[in-house]
Amino acid sequence: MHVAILLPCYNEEQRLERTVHRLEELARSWRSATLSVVVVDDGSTVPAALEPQGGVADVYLLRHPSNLGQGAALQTGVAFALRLVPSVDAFVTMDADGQHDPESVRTFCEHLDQHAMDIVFGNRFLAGRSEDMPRSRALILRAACVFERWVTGLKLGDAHNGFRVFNHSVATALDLKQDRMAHATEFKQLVAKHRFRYAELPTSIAYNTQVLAKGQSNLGSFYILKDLVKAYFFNG
Amino acid sequence: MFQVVFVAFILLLLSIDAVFVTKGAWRSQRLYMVILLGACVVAIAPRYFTPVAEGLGVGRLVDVVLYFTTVILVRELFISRARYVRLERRLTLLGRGVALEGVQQLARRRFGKD
Repeated sequence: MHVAILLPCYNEEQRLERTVHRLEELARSWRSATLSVVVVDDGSTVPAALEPQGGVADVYLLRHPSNLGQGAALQTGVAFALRLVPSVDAFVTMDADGQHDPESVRTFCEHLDQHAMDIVFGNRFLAGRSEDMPRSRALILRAACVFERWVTGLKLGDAHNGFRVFNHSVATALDLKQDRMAHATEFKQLVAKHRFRYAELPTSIAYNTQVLAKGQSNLGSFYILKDLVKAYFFNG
Repeated sequence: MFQVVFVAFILLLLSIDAVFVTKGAWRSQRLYMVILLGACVVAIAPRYFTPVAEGLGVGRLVDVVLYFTTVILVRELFISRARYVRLERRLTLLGRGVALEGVQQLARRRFGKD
């Protein structure tokens, strides 16, 4: 199985390097898979610098000339991975700041393969609510989940979880026009539109101080809503 | 009193624009000046324009101006927003092209792994 792991990053500094090293450890232990790590630096003020350990995974670095947004970075990563190896079996999207557990990559890819799914979404609530997750964040995510169910019709229990694994069909159909954070909803709209087979699996998210400081604020949900409304009227 | 303040404000705007606004696009600048000076004239002597408004079936000329201004501004807003969205999309595609052209391979997998 050839797995392309897409890591969009913006000013992640040391966190990115730690995530890549953890992915290399995964590549070392997962002998039946070939891993390609595609880092997309989304115009960081200090360009991402990486020193992979080497030998176990292919690591590629792409740079956007300016900050275009996480959705744009993911689409760039997918475009590159499709060009790189046309036979990639699984595409993984995860955050570069270390909030997602790299070990989940293996579980998700195996589920995708064994259950003939097109896409597997991560669900942080299936793993039991993290004690570190702020209460306000949990509330907003629940509201976003209800909204996404209404918009897409998909019965999913989490919203805006950046951890997902999908196959070649989804990657080929993917054409994210939401450059910023609203791409997560666009992903689900795509799945609904093409009637892709989907599932969700528990995934843990580490809400440490760095993740909370650097990640989205609760206000971000209003910007996502604004982007979706804007796209509805102007992208059509 | 209002007329004096209004005319002074418009003249101030025109003076600032004449000094600081970059030169070029003379036709649009002249049109802009004519519109503002016209507003001055209407503010100073509104009674001369009331018959025009009544001829159009509106009580005051200022209402005619407000109706047209509102419609034009809303139209401009929508056109500008649509243009901005298209421009943003082109910028994204351009940035993606640059990223794909300049890709670096930082580590290469060895066959058979260790």
